[in-house]
Amino acid sequence: MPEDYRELLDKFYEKKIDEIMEKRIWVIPIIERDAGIEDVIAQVSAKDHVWIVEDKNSRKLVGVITEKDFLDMLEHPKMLTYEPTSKMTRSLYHGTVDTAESIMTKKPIACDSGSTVENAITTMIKYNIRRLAVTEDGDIIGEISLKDLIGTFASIVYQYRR
Amino acid sequence: MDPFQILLLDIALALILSKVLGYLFERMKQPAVIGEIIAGVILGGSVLGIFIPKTIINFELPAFEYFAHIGIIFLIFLAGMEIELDRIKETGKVAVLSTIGGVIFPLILGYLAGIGFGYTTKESMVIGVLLTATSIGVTARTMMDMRLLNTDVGACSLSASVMDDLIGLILIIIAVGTGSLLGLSAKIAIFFLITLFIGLKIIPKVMDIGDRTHSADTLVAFSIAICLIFGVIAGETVVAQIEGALIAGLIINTTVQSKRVFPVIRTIGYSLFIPLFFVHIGTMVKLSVFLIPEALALSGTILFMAVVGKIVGRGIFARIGGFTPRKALQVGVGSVPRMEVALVSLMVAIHAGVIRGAVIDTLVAATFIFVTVTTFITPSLIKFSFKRELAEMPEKSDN
Repeated sequence: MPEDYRELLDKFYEKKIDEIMEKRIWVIPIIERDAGIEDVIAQVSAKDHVWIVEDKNSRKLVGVITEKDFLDMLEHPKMLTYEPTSKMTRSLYHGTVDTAESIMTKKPIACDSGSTVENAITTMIKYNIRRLAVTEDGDIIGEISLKDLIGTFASIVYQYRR
Repeated sequence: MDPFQILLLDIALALILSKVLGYLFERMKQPAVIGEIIAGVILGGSVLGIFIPKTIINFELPAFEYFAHIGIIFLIFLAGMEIELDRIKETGKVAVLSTIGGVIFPLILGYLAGIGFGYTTKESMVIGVLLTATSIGVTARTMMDMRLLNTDVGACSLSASVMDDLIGLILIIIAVGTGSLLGLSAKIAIFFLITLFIGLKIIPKVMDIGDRTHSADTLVAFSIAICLIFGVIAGETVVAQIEGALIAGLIINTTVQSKRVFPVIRTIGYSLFIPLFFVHIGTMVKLSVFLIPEALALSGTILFMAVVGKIVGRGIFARIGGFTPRKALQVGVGSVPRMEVALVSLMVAIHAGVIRGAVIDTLVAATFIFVTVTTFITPSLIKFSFKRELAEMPEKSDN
């Protein structure tokens, strides 16, 4: 008979994002849309992603650069086709990227702090992504990663065991 | 063989040969599309058709044509989903002006060429429209290889091409439509206003419903259905289904779900329907037409008008917009290649019955010539026009 995790999962699904998200805005990787390539390289190599905001004074979320965006930007010139695609405009080799904005994926997927873990998991699966920005009126106030979700689930399991 | 068996074989051969030739053309630094069309020429009546009876392969089967027509709808739907309206909003004065010049000159020159060769007003209008839209692929790639896409000339070329595609797609409805120009323009305006209004209200809701099923397949199915329904509405009002597909694509692009559906629709389109469209165009090219002096003369004239119309039209207007003569020439040269929209417009005109009988053969042949030649010559033309800049570059580009 397998162990019954249903009760624990119910608790997990109902948890509010607000309780588990990273709120310390200073540890979240964020740069402005007109930041240069080297800032992006530094951020992504340290944190594997970086959120892009409008400017220094505003936290309005306008994009995200993930490792996948980085991979596209690094694509070998041989792999590029002669058909017009959006990939064409993101190539470090061809000098078509110069700012964070030119590399980023627009309209990043976000959730609000009042939503639940269930919601976050569904969104992550749907979009095949491992982190969500948490926003309030379009401004980034935190982030939640798959790692955070797994950590939360682990702590629920340990609590139950004790 | 049973017609269904023939259809299956047609599709299989078309897919294999188009993708193989497409790959070879990519290797030759040319768009795969040219290879796909040539695959059609080989498979069609002019080459393989001579040896193999129609009871084994027959690309004139109505069912095959339907597949090709769905390919057109997918092509334009995907184009709509890739158009970044933001880019147009950011477009400067030069790009807008050069788009206008780049549309008007080839349109008029193409029209005059048609009239000069004794074609009807409608047919000549179609010839004019065929010359309006630029295919940015080869220009963008050539400029990228030279690290020039991020210059003002590159940016102007990109946004002007997006705009003249849209203009070309609208002009073709005027060319194939019936009634007075005023009535037709009113009909088109009403069509766009109503579909945009309804679309912006309804499409995001339908996408949300699709989303709630938590099934990626359902969302993709809904998106395709939306595109087809808009196509039917367009077909019933402004004749060309592509207009509906374009609007559906543009609106779906604004929804949050577009990121998830786009790659899947792209795969479906480019691995089945779209290559069949290009092959279909190729099978319509009758090589025997090139033995007719008049057809050759028309092809040559259209080709000349296509090249000169764009370089002069875009160039002059870019100069008026404030570019130096040299940059104006570069923008003009970058707009020479024509491909997808020209082929789609030709098919729309044939489908609408504006072009009939022997004129179809001549125009298909002439279009085949001008799309392939304009695309082939563009990289050399661009390199030539940027000779001075390339010489001044500190590092050598990979070309």
